[in-house]
Amino acid sequence: MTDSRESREAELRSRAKDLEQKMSDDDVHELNARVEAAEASESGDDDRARALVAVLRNMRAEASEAPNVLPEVQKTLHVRSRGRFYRDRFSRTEARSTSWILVLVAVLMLIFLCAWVYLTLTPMLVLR
Amino acid sequence: MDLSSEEEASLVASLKARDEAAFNRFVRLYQERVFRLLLRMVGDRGEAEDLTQDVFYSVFKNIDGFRGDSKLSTWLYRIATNHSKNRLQYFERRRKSRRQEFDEQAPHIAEERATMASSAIIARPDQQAEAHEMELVVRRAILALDEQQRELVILRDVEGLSYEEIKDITGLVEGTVKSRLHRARATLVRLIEAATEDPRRTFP
Repeated sequence: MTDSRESREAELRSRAKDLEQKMSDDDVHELNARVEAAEASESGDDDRARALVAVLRNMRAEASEAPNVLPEVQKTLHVRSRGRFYRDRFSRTEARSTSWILVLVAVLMLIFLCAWVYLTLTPMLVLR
Repeated sequence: MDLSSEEEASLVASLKARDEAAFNRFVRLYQERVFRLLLRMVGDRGEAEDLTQDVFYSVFKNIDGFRGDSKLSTWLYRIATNHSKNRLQYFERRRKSRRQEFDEQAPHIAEERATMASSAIIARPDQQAEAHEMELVVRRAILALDEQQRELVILRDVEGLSYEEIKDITGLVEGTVKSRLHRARATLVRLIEAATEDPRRTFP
């Protein structure tokens, strides 16, 4: 099964090479002109060349489902840098510095609140 | 999608400072394009995914080497195409059948991923089937091109990069890019013509 595929594959590649070698420059220019003409104008008269351009354009516009490689890249960087990079798992967010600022502000507010409660209520308790 | 020069300069500066948040943003911004390019180069989804990870790891490691002579995306494409070529050459050197496996799987991948974009503009079912089939034929024909021709067709005709960008990526002069691309397209047209005349003979 694999052998037959390999032989077909080899045949295909040698055919591609053969075709390329056999083509004269005029041939190349003529074929290319057909493709470029079709590329330049939707109403090109060569169906195959037009189809080729259309398919290539569709391939360009295609919304491929690319995997998210970020976690794996981060993991690799973490391991290969011996923990220097991505040492915390929160690095996965884009706005890490913003989150830290928010956490810091929240903690400071809590401290001020505790201090205010302490300073306000303690004298009252002492006076009683 | 493309960044303005100010945004790019700022991103590069952050990347050079090894700012993890900036790197996360960079990966999210470009991973789809890099993956798509690599998938078309190697024809295997798993392999393309591995390569995509390697490419971003290389960027993180080598960003100091980016001098700003070209756009960041062009530099990234250059790393990606080099990775894909190295990987394909590695498999060829080992004379293992991995690459055949990629190509073997390619029709399935192509089938799975064949977009409805071409079908959507054609109303009749027979025309839809024809468009779908043509798309598969073209994908297989692209994989049958040699690496350099494939690279040029993908960069120019599929990804839509300018000759200037392709020149920066491949290191070839513009005239060479154009003539090789012409030849690649011509081969592609011939392969497609042959495949549509006798599909069983050309593509398994």
